[in-house]
Formats: sequence, structure tokens, C-alpha cells
Amino acid sequence: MTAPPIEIHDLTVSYDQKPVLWNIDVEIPEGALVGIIGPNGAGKSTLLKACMGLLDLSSGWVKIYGDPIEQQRKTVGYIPQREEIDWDFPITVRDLVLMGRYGHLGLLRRPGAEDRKIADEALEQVGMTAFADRQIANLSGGQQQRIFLARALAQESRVYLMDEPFAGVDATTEKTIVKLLEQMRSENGTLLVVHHDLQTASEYFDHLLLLNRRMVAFGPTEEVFTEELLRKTYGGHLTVLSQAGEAIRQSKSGKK
Amino acid sequence: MSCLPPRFWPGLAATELWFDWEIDTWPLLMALLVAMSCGLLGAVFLVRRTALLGDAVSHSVLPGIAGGLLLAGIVLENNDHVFGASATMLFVLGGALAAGLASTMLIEALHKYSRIKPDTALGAVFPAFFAVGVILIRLAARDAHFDQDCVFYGSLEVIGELNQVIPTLACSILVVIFFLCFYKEILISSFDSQFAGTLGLPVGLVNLLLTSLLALAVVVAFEAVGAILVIALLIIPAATAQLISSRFDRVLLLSALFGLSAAFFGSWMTVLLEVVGFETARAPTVAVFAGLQFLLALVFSPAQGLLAQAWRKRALESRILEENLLGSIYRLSGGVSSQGFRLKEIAAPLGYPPGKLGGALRRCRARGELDVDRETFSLSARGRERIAGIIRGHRLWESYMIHEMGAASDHVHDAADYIEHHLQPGLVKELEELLGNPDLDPHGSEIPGAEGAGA
Repeated sequence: MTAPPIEIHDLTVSYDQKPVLWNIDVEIPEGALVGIIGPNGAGKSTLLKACMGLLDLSSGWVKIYGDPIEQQRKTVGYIPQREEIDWDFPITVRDLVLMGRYGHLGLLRRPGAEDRKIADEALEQVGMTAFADRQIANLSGGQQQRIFLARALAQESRVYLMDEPFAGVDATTEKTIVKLLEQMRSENGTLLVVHHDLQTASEYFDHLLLLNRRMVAFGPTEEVFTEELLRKTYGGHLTVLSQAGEAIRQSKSGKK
Repeated sequence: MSCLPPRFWPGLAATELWFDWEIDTWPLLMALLVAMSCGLLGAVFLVRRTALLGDAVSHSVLPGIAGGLLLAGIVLENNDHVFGASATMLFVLGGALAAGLASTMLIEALHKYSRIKPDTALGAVFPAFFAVGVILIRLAARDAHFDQDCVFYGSLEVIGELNQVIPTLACSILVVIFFLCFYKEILISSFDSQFAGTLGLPVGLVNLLLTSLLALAVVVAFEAVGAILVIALLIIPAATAQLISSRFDRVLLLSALFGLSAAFFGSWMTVLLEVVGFETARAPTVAVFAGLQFLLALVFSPAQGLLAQAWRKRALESRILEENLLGSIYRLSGGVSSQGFRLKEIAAPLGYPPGKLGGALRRCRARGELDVDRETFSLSARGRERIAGIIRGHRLWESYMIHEMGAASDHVHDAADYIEHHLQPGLVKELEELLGNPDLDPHGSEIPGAEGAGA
């Protein structure tokens, strides 16, 4: 049996000594379009960053097709949250999309004609060709998400982790993104998408991962999108986990 | 590192208006090299919004310099004449580099492992380093031939031979090679270091190299322009470049060029000032020149200059006046007739004094948008075509406000009056589709067709 695109085993991640994600254990099947849903502060972005190897793990591991992420960099594309970059940075739309190619280039190599072609095609797919030579400032929220998506497309990966690609977009962009996600999945891609809107979640994704600091459920949408599981995800204050986390932080930082 | 007395200069002569290459070659070369590397490095830290890191490093290297001098004094005590000044220089450079890196690492560590915020860490670390440096410098100056003023204001004047330029030359070459080789890594780790990390690019290494080169550039610049003015070379040319271009590669290139031109013209200005009997140090003149360039860019930059902004604002105001003028005639004439009106009649509905429309009237006439019959003005075909589009936008917007925003019909005119000048064709089309291409506006007036008046 081949290894799954993403396998997360007993993953615990802490900020400032305090665990924010507890013992996540899940295998994402090939070709799944997975929505990660949960309330604010549930650790959705943290889960993606941990998978990308951007964070120190308190316990557990993540494997991509059976290998650590470091050996599978080109297999995994990533879209960060829109707010995480400086949109006043002096760079054009095309240059931003070209960054998707950097992982395929060796040290000392610059993007060539082939890379530029791939970037332009990606821009065309998200309908942003007309903006290629514009500076990234002054783009609308939807346009910003589109060029992020184009950069991910230019990565030509098989697995994509996307942090809130639907945040702050207009209706047209939302449709475009949904269509693209479907298309990427149909080309045998595996997608893990942080999503904040419960109403559309069951419509857009074939699998859901319900998260609130621990994994509440993972499975096909029709199985896990139930009132009971959603209440378990969103309702109730996780007093036990909060207290346990605080206790760990205090004892580790030497406070009483 | 010692300041010699001001150099002798012989009276006024025509040749004195230009560089005296026998004396000026090395100081000029030094200034150019320092300005170029500071321009390149400064631009990176500026776009990262950490411009003041250069400030911090330039102050933090002081204890390293003093420590290097003291150490050289001890180690080279007996055979100073064997190694000469260049060995001392190596100690100084090494010490400064170590201190510069130590301070940036300390700033980062404070931020990472405590609750102290980066700006606070910066503000706490570099004055501490600087203070220790000042004390050590006094100690070093006690038994070394060392002029403390040089540390603060530089001493381009005393550079009299190639040997003194070599460390700076080596540093500049390193900086240029680094930028040529790692351009894409510098770009991506400045713009989106997290994404760079997900690609497996060596973000940490690039940042370490950048900081090391900054420390190195600051140390060699130290000798030339001093601890304080080096900040001018790190920040001002980069800020000037950012006013002109919004592409990373061009910002880097322009920043280096502005550094070079400030160094060149600043040095030249010193030569000219000497001619009129005003002896001044070179470094401050270079910094002043960098500042002048910045002011010029601030005013004249085609993209973001104040002049261009004022020009665009004026152009918009003129366009609005023209559209109001044509619109008033259109409404007075009911949209179809070619009846003429006096200026006073046209201005009245707009609430303008007639004189306010003088310029707009002249421009519309010149463009053939108005027909003139003695004292009255009417719309020509071209004028009607131009204004019909605006009126159409105005009336569509009124419909939109009433039908989609639930506004009262007597509350929409002013809003539409404002927005009619700003509606782009794409948006007008969207309004048309949304409203189902209405023929009449909410007040019962005809909405002119997209082709022209009265359609």
C-alpha cells in the first residue's frame, strides 16, 4: 500500500510552552478536498504550519507520502493567510507568482522563460493576466487571494495546504476559487483548506476535519457534518484543555 | 585611524573647481564604495521595514572597534612595526563584525525568548553596546594615536593611499557578489519568509549573511563617514529609490545609484566649498547631498512625487468642472435640443459663480464639445456624446440607490452627482445588467443610451 499524501501522528504544538494543538492523529486520503473547520483560535493555521515544517513540534510527526516534509518540499504547495505579508512591498503581480517556481530552482539560478510561461499560465487560470505588471498594492481582497492561488498553481505540487483562501473575497472570486479547487482535486491533487464559513463548508468539501485544539472528527462530509459533532467543535468551553495547557506553561516557565 | 590636520590648499585657480586627483582619488573612491554597498544593503532593510537595524548595528560595532584596538595593542605590542597598521585594521574589523553580529543576535534572542517586543529590544541593546564602546574607546585612545571624532564623523580626508581603501573594496565586492548570486533568496525572504521556508530555501542563512554584510559594511563605512552619518547612507538613498520605483530589482539598483551620486556630488561640493574658502568635512556634505536627492524625488517623482500628485488632483478637478458644465447644458436643454444658454444660466444650477467655469469653457470649446453663438453656448455632437455617458452613469446610480440600497428618491441626487465622475465603464455595465437596462431614471428622466444622447 502506498503511503498517504499526509499522515499526522500524535501531533502536539505549543506556543510559549502552552499546547495549542493536542494529539492530532489523522491520515488524509489521496484526492481528498478537505475543509478544516473550527472556531477562532482552534489551531487551524497552526495545524497547516506544523505540516509545512514551520513550527517546532512538542510531540509527534507529519509525513508526506511517507517522508518527512523536508524531503517532499516540491510535493507540497502552501498558501499563507493574506494578512501575513506586506502588500506595500515593491513587487509586481507576476514576480509574486514567479516565487512559486523558486522551489524548483537551484541555488544561484534565476527563473527562466519556462518558469515565466508557467507563471503566466497560472495567472490566466485565476483571471489575473491583465494585472501581471501591476504592483501588488491596491489589489482588492479577492485579487490578492487569486494571485496567491496562482503562485500555488505555479508550484505544480500534488498536495496543497491553504490558509483561508476564501477570506475577504467577492462572490465572483469565490466561484473561481471553488472551480479551481475542484479542478486541482480532479487532477489527483490532495487539498487541505482552512475554511471559516460553516454554511458553504458542506457544499465545497468532500471531507471535513473538525478542529478545536484537538481533532473532533475527520471523515467524509456527509458523515461528520452532523449537529452533534458541530456542537462538540464549536460549543462548550474547553476548560480542561485550557487549564492543562496553562498548567504546563506555568510549570515549564518556573512560575507557581 | 587618525585625523590629520586639514590639507593644505593653494589659493584660487580654475583647476581648483574640479577634483585634484593626486589628493582626491582615494577619498572619492572610498566614498563611492561605501555609498554603493550601503545603498544596496539599506534598500533591503528598508523594504523589510527594519531600516533602523542599520542604526543599531552602526552603534553596536563601537565596542568591537575599541576592543579590537585594545587587543591589537596587547598582541602586537612588541612587533607593531612588523605587521603595521593593516594588522591593527584586521583586529578592528574582526572586533566590529563580532560586536555587530552579537548585537543583532541579542536583539533577536530577546524578542524570541522573552516578552520584550522587537523595537524595545532594539532600543535597549544598541545604546548599551554604544555606551560600553564609548568607555572602551576612551581606554583605547589613552595609549593609541586615535582621534575619537573620526568615530563619530568619519575621516574621508585622511585616506591617502590604496591600502586604506582595500578593506572597503573587498567588502563592496562581497556585497555585489552576494546580491548577484542570492537575488531571488533575498527577495523572497524579505517579502514572504514563511513561504520561503515552505519551499525549503535557506532563509536563516540569507538573513545571517545579510546581517553580517551589514555589520561589515557599517564597519568599513565607519572609518569613512562615521557612526552617525552611515545611517544616512543606509536609509536615504533607499528611501529615495522607493519613491521612484515599486519593483524590488529597480529599488536596489536605484538605491545603489543614488548612493553613488550622493558620494560623487557631495565630494565635489566639498571641493567647490574649499575654493570659496569654506573648509568642511566630506562625509556631512555627502549626507546632505543624499538628503537633497531625497527632497527632489519627493517633489518630482513621476509616480509618487508631490508635484505629480498635485497635477493629478488638478486634472481631476478640471475634468469634474468640464463634466459639470456640459451636464448643466444637457439638463437645461432637456438632453436633445441644441438650444444655447448664457454662461450665467449654465452656472446657476451648479451653484457656481460664472467665472469658475471660464477655464472649463475654454477647454471644452477647444475640444469642439461646445458650439458658440454670440453669448450662448450649446452642446455639439461630440460634447453631447461625452456628457451622455456621464448622465447615464448618474441616472443608473440613482436607480441603483433606490432599488438596491433602499434610498429615498429625493436623497439620491447629490450622491449620484459625486459618483458620476468616477464610474468606470466596467461598473456602468454591471449596473446596467443588475438593473435590467432601464430607460427611465427614478425621477422619470430618460437615461441616455450607451451610444449617445437621445438614443
